[in-house]
Amino acid sequence: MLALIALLGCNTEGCLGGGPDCRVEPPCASLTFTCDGGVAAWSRVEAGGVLASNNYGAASPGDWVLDNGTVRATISDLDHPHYIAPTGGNLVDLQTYGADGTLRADDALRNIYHVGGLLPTEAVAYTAIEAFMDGENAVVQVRGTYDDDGDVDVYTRYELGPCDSGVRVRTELVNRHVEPESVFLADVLYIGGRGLLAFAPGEDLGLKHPSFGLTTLKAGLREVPWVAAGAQEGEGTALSFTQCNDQPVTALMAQELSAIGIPPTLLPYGDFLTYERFIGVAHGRSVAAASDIALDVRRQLAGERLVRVDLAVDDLGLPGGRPHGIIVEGDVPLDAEVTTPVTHVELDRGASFLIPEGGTHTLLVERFGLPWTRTTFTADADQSVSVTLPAPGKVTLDVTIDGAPDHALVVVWPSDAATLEAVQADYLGHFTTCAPMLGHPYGADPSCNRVLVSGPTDLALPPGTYDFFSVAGPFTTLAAARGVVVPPYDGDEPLVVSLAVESLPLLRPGMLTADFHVHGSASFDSSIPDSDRVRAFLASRLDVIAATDHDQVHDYAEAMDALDAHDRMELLVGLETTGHILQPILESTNNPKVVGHWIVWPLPFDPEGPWRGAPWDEKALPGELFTRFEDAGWPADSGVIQLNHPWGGIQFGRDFGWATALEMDFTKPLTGDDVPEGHALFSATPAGSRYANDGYHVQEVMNGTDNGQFEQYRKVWHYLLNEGVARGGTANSDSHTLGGNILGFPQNVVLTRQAVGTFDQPTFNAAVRAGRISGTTGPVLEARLEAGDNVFEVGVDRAHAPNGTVVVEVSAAPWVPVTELRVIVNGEVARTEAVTLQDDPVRLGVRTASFTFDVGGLVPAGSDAWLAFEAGTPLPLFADLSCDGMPDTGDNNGDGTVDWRDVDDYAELTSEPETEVPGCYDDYGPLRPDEGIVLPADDYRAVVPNGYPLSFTNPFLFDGDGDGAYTGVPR
Amino acid sequence: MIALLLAAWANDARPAILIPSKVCNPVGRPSGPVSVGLLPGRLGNTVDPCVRTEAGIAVGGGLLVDTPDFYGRIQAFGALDVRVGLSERVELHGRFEGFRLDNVIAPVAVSASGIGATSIGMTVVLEQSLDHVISAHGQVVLPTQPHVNAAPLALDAGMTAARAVKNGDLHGGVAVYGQGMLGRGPSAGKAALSGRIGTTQRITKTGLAFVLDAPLSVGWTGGFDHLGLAGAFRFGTGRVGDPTPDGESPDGRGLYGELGVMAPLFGRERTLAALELKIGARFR
Repeated sequence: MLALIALLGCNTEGCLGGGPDCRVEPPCASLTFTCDGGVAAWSRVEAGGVLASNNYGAASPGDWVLDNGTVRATISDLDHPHYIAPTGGNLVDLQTYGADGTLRADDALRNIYHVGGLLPTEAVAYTAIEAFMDGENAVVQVRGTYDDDGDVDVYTRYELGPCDSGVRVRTELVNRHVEPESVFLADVLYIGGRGLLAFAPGEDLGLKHPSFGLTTLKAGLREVPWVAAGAQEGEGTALSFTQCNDQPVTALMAQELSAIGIPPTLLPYGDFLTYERFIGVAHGRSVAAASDIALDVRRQLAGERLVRVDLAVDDLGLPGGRPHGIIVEGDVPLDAEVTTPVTHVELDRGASFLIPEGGTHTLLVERFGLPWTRTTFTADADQSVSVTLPAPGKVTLDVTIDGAPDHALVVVWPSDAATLEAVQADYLGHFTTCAPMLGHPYGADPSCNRVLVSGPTDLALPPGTYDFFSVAGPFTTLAAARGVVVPPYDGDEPLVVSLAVESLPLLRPGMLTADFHVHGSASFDSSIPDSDRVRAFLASRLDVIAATDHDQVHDYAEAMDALDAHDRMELLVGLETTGHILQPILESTNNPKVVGHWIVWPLPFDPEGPWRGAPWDEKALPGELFTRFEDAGWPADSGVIQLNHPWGGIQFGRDFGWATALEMDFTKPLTGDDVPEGHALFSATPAGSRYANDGYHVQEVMNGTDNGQFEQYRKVWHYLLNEGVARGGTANSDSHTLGGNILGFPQNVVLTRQAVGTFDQPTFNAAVRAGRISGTTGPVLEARLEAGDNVFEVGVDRAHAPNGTVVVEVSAAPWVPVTELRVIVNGEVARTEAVTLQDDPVRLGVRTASFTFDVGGLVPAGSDAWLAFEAGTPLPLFADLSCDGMPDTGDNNGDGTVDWRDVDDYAELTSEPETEVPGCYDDYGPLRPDEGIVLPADDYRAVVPNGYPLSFTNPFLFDGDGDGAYTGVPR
Repeated sequence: MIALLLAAWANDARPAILIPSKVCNPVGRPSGPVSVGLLPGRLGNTVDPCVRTEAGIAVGGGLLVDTPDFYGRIQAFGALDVRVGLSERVELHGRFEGFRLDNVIAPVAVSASGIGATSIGMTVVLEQSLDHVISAHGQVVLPTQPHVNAAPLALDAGMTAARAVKNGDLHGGVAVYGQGMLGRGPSAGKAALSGRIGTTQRITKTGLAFVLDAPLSVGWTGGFDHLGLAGAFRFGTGRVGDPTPDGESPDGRGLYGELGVMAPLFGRERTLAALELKIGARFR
């Protein structure tokens, strides 16, 4: 019997039989490309040899390269995993060459890794890599298994021929699990949410992505002839995915990632699958650049007949508004809801593209996200098509700061409901909705309804009536031009909108403003160019900004130098670590998790490192991460680690907040017997680490311009303070683009006795670690403890005797409303004082109010305590309806109370649902209703969309029990 | 297989007579181990040591739930079972699964269906008396079940025995079984050892019986596969009674049926339970 069995495996295909010297079958043998003089070769990236790239480039010494003078493909070395891939061995850069033979810095790829399914354990981990020539073709071959699962063997061959306009890939997979496996063998194009956008031809597809959930993944699968993805922003590459036969691909498309492969298959033990595909690479951000390659493959392998369309675009000399076109089958009206797209083109210039032969087609043009114009043509032969784009409106923005042109941000709002309804748009059904959509919401300037200016700047926008606003951060006046009627531009002198902003002396010497959470296009979820990011830095008037891109270090050096930004601000170079690979964290749950997000600075920038100076940040608990940071050059004695947005938010099963991942229960103590598993893990020291998981210095209390989860982040902070975990609180914008969170709203005011010109980072960081900070979205809140002859600032680095007087001063710009001051004692609002700001007699333009409190009258005697302050407008009503100690529901129905009637899931109920514990519900939320886009009710909300004025101080800690330290508040 | 066939014919080169047996009484009273198995074609199962001639249909399935690994599996099949006694000591048997459904429950659920396994085998009685029987058996499971690019070819061979006790029997057996893949993929060959002991208890003067077995397997999953429990409820029609001392036996024609379940209790096997219902007609 055994002899017979042994005989069965004697004629295996490719590497299916295993063996150290096996060769995967050459992929796509029927596909041919021709050119003059192409030569394919493979090489390794050497130190000093990282070639021209952009913020998407990931090539690092040791990585593997396939190059034929048309396309250059970089495959990560095994020890260079990126994002969600457990190992290297994956495509990380795809670039093209220009006609002059120069390599373009046009990579738009984060990475493509391989999966046999969508569980973390079904990602492929490669363990061996080699390269060789096979005739004229250059090959890189990898072998491995499912991650942490050696029972599924995977072999992949990347191949580049001399004239190929992309990479041929073949993957062979063998199942050695006893039971059959569900296998969805696919390339996963990791996008991150704001870069490439996947396109598939077909009814109601195109750039529309079928919706699905983590438990309904199959609902999102579609069989399509090919998938292409355009770079959307910048001069990137477009990619296409086509099977190397006449079969369609099976695609699951989403903004964060897209999986393209062969249909999900039940694969029994010992059975195998193979997947051959051609990944086309074309220069240009249009989908059409890559769909041309996909269609050429289909012509060769499936006999499809094609025609070429040369499109000429006349924009009447008025660029702007990101005109783009979808080509659809049939004669279709401009406002058609369901179409059958065949390709997509950017229309800032002309385009030439292939489409299947036959039938009438319509070019639907969008501009500013709005239906703009259309034209039809028949696809019975190669042809030329012309389209004229109707004129947009045009204004010239003239902004001065303190009387001189300078970097500024202008926010544009419709003046009335009619204009709002007419111009509200999203970008191809994706990303966020803006009104107006001046440009890609996550891309270059102008973006969403915001525009960066430095001197007179022309701006195209849809015709309508608009208000224009500008501030230079919260500590200046607000300039506004209201009710500006903008008609379609007729060639006359454009309207000039003048805005004059003046600085206000709201800050005292020794105060530096700072934003510790900022992203640019080095982050997977941002596509704002470096130059626009630094211009936004300057427009925010922040003194200190931490560059905290996801999972890699970036220093913005080139843009900072070009804009002379170093003279005006300090840039702290760090990163935000963002868990991608789910891992088992809690034994009490089946669900694997990530450890939330953490920011660390400073880290040395290494332009050639696989993560540009950062350590690999996956599969680690926080203490292990901190250890890796230190090993990568983070200075333990003077650096800062920040816990970001500690609660709520989840994306693709990955928690944004560490406290959420730990399933912390704020009705229970942090330490002691019988505490939840997550509480014990919060302060544990992982094996092999030099740091405990609570070895961070500060925690975000405010995140995002709308500050939508302030009550929850504050709850975590207050809970930990009460439990004796004294960490400073910070306030950051988490800005990724111009169109989302606005830099500096919120921000930190750091008491550091320094100025930009005399900046010393360790001294500044010491102030941050000590919590010498107030966080703000507008008001300036200062507090000092006067005890005898001593005056103390806020901070978590010392405990005071519980006596003395606290003097609190509130001040604000005229457009920042402040009506109350809240006194927080041990996490509870002990007192609320009405605030009436008066004109400051010394600081012109500043309004201020002052309060004095006796410490003994506020804090309880005989036990440790802490005292902090908040100022602004009253917080919206909120409550904890789930009774887990965490605020979860707001007054969503506006009836003045928070109860079950405010819960979205109970919207259909007419009576209170039954509960085990009265007043404690299984469903809850939201904390704030999704308002969508509403016209701002006041000037504040015009420049701080959906936000509200609020400032908080860090606490004064009191040693009430006299043991010499602050150790927490008694329960 | 060929060796078994030759041995059987050689052993039986004499006029066929009905061997009196309290265990293999041709009367339509049920006997032998629980027939529910975990693998298609009942690969590796301990078979009935008795020679019979019968035909019937069987339906069954299995359930696997592994929540921590986000995996579940539901199987179902319908089959035709045939047993042909070529002589008093030699039986040819086969199971032909006309339909098999395999459904994997995972984040991306998939299923496969179609013709199932086809198994062909032989049982040869080596020794038989009034009170006991010892047989050798073997079968091949042909690659007819649903597959993608490679189909399994499997074999098993073993020994099985039964001994009469009051109102029933004790039975058991051991087998080796193995599988390899046909196609351009790897052989993926593997082999395992199975065993089983059990008892049948008949309700006197009826055609009803209960069976309880303890099946065991080692090697199929790469380690200790399972130790479990299998049980069945059986019925049979036809004349009921022991053979006379001079060998006369009722002809044993009748109907039979069995509802069986098998559950691995220990080991690496993740299947929760397998179930099978079969009914048929016994001719001899």
